[in-house]
Amino acid sequence: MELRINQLKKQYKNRTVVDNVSLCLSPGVYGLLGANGAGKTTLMRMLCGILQPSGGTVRFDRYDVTTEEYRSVLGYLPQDFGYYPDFTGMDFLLYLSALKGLDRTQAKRRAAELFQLVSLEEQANRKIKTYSGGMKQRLGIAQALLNRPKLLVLDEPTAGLDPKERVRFRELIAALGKENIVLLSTHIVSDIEHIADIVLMMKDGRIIYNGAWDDSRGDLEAFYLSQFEEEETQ
Amino acid sequence: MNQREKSWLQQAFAAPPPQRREVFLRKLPTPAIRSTTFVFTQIRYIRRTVWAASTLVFAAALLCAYMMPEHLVGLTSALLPFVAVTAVSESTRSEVCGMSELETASRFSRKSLLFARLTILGILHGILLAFLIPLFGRFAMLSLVQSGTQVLIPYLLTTILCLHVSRHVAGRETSYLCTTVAALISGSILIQWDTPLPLWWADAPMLLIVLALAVLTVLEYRKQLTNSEEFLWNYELTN
Amino acid sequence: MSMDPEEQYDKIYRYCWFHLHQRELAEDITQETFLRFYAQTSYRESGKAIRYLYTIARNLCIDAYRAPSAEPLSESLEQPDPSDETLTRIGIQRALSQLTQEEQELLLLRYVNELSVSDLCDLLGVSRFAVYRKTRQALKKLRNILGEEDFS
Repeated sequence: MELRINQLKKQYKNRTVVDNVSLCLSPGVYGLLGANGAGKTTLMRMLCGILQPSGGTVRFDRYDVTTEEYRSVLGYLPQDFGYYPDFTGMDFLLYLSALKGLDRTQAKRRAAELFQLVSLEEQANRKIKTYSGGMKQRLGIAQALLNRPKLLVLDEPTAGLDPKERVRFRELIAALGKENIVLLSTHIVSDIEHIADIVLMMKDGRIIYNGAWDDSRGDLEAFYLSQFEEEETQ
Repeated sequence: MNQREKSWLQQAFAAPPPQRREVFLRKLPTPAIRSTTFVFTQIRYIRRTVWAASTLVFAAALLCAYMMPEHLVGLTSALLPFVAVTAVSESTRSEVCGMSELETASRFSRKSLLFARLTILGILHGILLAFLIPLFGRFAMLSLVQSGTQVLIPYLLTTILCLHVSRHVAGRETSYLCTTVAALISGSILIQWDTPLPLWWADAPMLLIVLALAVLTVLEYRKQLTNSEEFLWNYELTN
Repeated sequence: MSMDPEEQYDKIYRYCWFHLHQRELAEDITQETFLRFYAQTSYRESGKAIRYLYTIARNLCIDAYRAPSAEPLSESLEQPDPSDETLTRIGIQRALSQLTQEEQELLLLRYVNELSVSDLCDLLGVSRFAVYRKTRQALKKLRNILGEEDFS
């Protein structure tokens, strides 16, 4: 099981937002770290088939990103998402289940499982507009898991979660990362330190660091900040 | 067969628990739902407003036909732009509500979804328009071409303009603008209330206009299908 | 109504166990049933999905009867779950064993796996009337046998 990203590029007029990124990911948790505007979201959108790359390819095993088979194994949590007004949490999951190809009986069962997993059982039948930020985020995580994805792409998943929710989330991700490829992006260094097996640091559309991070390399945060100091002194 | 007997049987036939269930079910290649089934699943998600608008116009036309046939054409044609708007807004709902990203990343991506919605709407409105044309013919004494024109021009014109608007304006403003467009077209029909046919009427040029509008509508909807994926992101990044 | 593998797995497994009384083999055949089911496209979503699933399972079990099995005999004598219900269960199992294979299968499918009567007709190749009649017969027999012993 492998995600091969080859020379991926995204250009807008004169701006290159993602610059020749090549990666090969196998099961595990990958933390994508970078400042806002570094290209993380654009990269992730390309990995989900939402944005068309200006160049390069993305393949999961032998499926190209544009295929239905690729999307079948994909779970995505965007940085921000909306919902159809008047949808309850359950409506939301059932709607997306239909889009992910689950039939209704399976969908209902899966939704119930997931509500329990993210501790939203009591809110399941309430309207999403009554949800707090943390609840909505947990709902987002739930929908990403509907189709038991082998490739999970999460954009700033811990935003809006309180410390207790954050811990539960880390445990969930750790469990998922054992057999699946989990790519999560964040600009919070401590998230990465606790969750990721491999750190991918992104700056100006390029991956400037790709590897595990342990204490022997020093403080991750310091290293991360130093990259920006370098830029300022230039 | 009471509950007790049933539970006895269940116990008697009980098998030792399967060992490889979870692993197998995870790996099972559940194939895609057929496209037709998918279209059906989307019927329940079409807003009630859409069904209501079509039903209302249908009923109003029928009532008008029997009670005041002289106003039939004017009234119904003036209502059609609003029916058209419901269809357009249904096709832009995903962007407006912020669901596009999630939908695009699903197995049945946004294209299939949009296609399913348009199919359902196409059938619904197709039936409505097909019903109105002979109705006009019978009660307002119009020829087929005349009826067709009176029904299709307001609908198609509104559709084209609203789709165009929706691709250049983002978010909730789209719905306000589209409603305004519909109101304007509707208003211009109402102004000529009792003179549905202009004096310079001729079949051939009107048919051509209808044909042109139909082609434009198809093109606009096609743009909707292909552009939808890039539109919103580009908009965000370049502004 | 389409077929939900999560729901059907245990039922098909139980059915295979009934025919084969061998754990590994029953599970192998259960899985093979699902794989074959998904390998074809015509019945996947129709109302006939369930009966088609069972037909595959049944045929595979029949084939398995014919082939010599490698599993040790002791497997089939295994008692799954020792509890205070055991006495009742053994008693009912003993009573059931006095019914014909056909009658037992019918009771399993109708009341435990809850197959619809139409699916049953199709699977077993008999008329609705026959299904009702045989079911009634089987139940009557069973109740008579159980009635002779005392269960409280």
